[in-house]
Amino acid sequence: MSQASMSVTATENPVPEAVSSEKVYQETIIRPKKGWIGIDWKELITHRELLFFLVWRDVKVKYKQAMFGAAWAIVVPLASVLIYTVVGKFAGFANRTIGNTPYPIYIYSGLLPWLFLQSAINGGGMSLVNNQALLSKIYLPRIFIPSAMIGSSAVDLFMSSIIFTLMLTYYIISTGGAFMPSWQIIFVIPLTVLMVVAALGTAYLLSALTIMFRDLRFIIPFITQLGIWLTAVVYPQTIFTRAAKDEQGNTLLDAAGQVIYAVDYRPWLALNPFAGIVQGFRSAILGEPWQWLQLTSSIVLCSLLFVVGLFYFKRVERRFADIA
Amino acid sequence: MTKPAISVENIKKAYRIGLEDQSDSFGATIKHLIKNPLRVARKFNEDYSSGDDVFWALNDVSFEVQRGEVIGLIGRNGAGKSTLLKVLSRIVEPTSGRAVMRGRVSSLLEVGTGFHPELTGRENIYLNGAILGMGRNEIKQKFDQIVEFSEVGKFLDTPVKRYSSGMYVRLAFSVAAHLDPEIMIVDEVLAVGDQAFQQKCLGKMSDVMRQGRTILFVSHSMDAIASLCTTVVHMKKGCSSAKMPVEQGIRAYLDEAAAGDALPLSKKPRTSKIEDHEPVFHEINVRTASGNSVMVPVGTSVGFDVTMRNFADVPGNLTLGIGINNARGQRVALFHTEYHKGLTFRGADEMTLHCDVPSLPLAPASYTVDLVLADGYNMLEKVERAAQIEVVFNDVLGTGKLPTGKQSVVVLPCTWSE
Repeated sequence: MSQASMSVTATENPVPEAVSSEKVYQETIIRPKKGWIGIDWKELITHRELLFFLVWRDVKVKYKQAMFGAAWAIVVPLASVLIYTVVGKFAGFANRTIGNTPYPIYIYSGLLPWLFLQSAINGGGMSLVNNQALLSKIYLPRIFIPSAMIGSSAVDLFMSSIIFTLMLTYYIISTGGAFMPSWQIIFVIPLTVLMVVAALGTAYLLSALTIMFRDLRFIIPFITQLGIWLTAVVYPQTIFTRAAKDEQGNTLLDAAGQVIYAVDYRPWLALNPFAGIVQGFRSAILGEPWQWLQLTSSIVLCSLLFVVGLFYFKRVERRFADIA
Repeated sequence: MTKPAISVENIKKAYRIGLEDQSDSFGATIKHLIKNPLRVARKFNEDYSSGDDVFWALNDVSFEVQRGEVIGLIGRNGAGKSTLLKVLSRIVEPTSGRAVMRGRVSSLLEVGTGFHPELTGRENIYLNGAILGMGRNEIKQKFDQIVEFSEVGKFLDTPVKRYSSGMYVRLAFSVAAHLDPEIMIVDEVLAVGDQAFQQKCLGKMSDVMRQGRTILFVSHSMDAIASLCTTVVHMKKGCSSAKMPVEQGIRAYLDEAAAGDALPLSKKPRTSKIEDHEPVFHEINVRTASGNSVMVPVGTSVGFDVTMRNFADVPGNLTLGIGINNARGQRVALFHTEYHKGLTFRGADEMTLHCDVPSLPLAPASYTVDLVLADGYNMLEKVERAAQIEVVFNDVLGTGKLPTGKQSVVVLPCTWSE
């Protein structure tokens, strides 16, 4: 009401013109914040170019000194695929894949999401600790620091997907079309969104926890080492099952031609939010049966991870500079 | 009436102290979490405002800075200057109180924050600019100015890890200085870099000042404070004084420094190059014509009795120098056993040397006295601020007037004619 009456006087009175020509300064109020802090979206938008620069810095620095530079973004996943393919052949995992999927493709379709998630856990977790100067000597929206780390991992993911696509094409041609990805491959897009949400949530939570409790810097690499096995990245989930067989030793199939399992521990993987994502990629790309329980659970757990991670980060953010 | 550029209202900042902050360790938290989950949850809400293990880095700081004012923050180490700058830069959150900054703030608490050693000068200009709050187009626009000011043009495409520290500082300051801040917060960053560049930075800050911008400046160099600031705030143990004129503020700072010097000489901090040796300088006594051990009227005599102990084992032909420094830390006189008397001496269990200055023609101001024990050009032990003297007005020129310590270092006679 008072504002309305002010504007009326302003039109009648010439004096306020001088006032309006005076520069309006942006006001920053500094005071202790209480409770769970909301997110200042406006600030994030005005600083968006900083996020871009931080991603750019992380990508640039990562490959700057290496002799082969960005080629490593390609070599690392390829080498991992090679190693796990060889291991899988020896361990007999390769015999448990479905259909005529080439085993390297099978491995790569799991490593593609996993290498991204792994760098989110490792790099994201360490992002604040590695940028202490930015915490203690200057103000910037701190949420950008772990976010930028995920951004640079996404660049690697993009490079890795190009190689994956080339590899797919190679196998389609060399098998004369006997191997063909399912049309469901388009579901990779929503799965990638889910994966980025999971990665951001993980990075927010772990980075904030790591700066508060430095012990985590030793625990996190251990988590990812364990994670590759608990997430069924480099072997088929069917090793957690035993197919039902008839007396002649033939695998029993149901009416739709799917294998009937006598023992199936796979539902337990639903407790791991990342398992649904990795298996989802396989289902989408290779046409394996969708694991609906795992996928639903993954959507719920990853959303929860994101919300909890974000709020915990905002909650302890104010103490970063005191601790760092 | 325009609002002040910076209003600081009752800002307090507490830190928890303790040898080993056990309650924050991982194991302890897990233990608490298992024992008593509710309490740990509550602990996150705690704001350390009570208890014994709390240190108040800032304890009720209030002042206002008007637009275009250049305010110097002075105080001894640990007075809370840097903490205050961090609060005003939004790096740390105050425990209570409130501050309002009106205008775009650029804070330069450390030179080159966010610089990445692997990136080139050019890349770091963009990165650092973005970190300081500039957009890409803005940086592009100012790029040439930044490079020109920093004088590192030739090395623009070299990773900054290969830069000399001088080049590094120049580049970092240039980026920050071209942010066009309305409020500039500068910690003692100018202590680095060579003399010429320091002058250039001070010049740039004066430019900023002339454009009606507001500067908040921390320095231990009273010279820089005196030449740049319009007013000062003197911080002491987390509290701020009222704003005062520069001269008065510097005076308050020096008085505090002198009060802190009430320690006996043998307990004062010193620089010693004699390994594992107990302090040599034991006592200094200042004799003045006024009879007071501090006040020296201009042009009157002053004497120093310096007692040294337990240095029989120190080899060499020793000399003693008594240096007089003005408020800006500039050495204005040196009384030296060898230069003035051709005297060198040997180590002894105890020795007292007397130095008599028949007339001290320094302008009225505060001066500090340094003691230096040396063997030839090798400094062996040095005590800064061993004593303080206050040169006070004395009508030596017969006109009832004198140049002040700010106008001149010495008061010398001369004749004038038409």
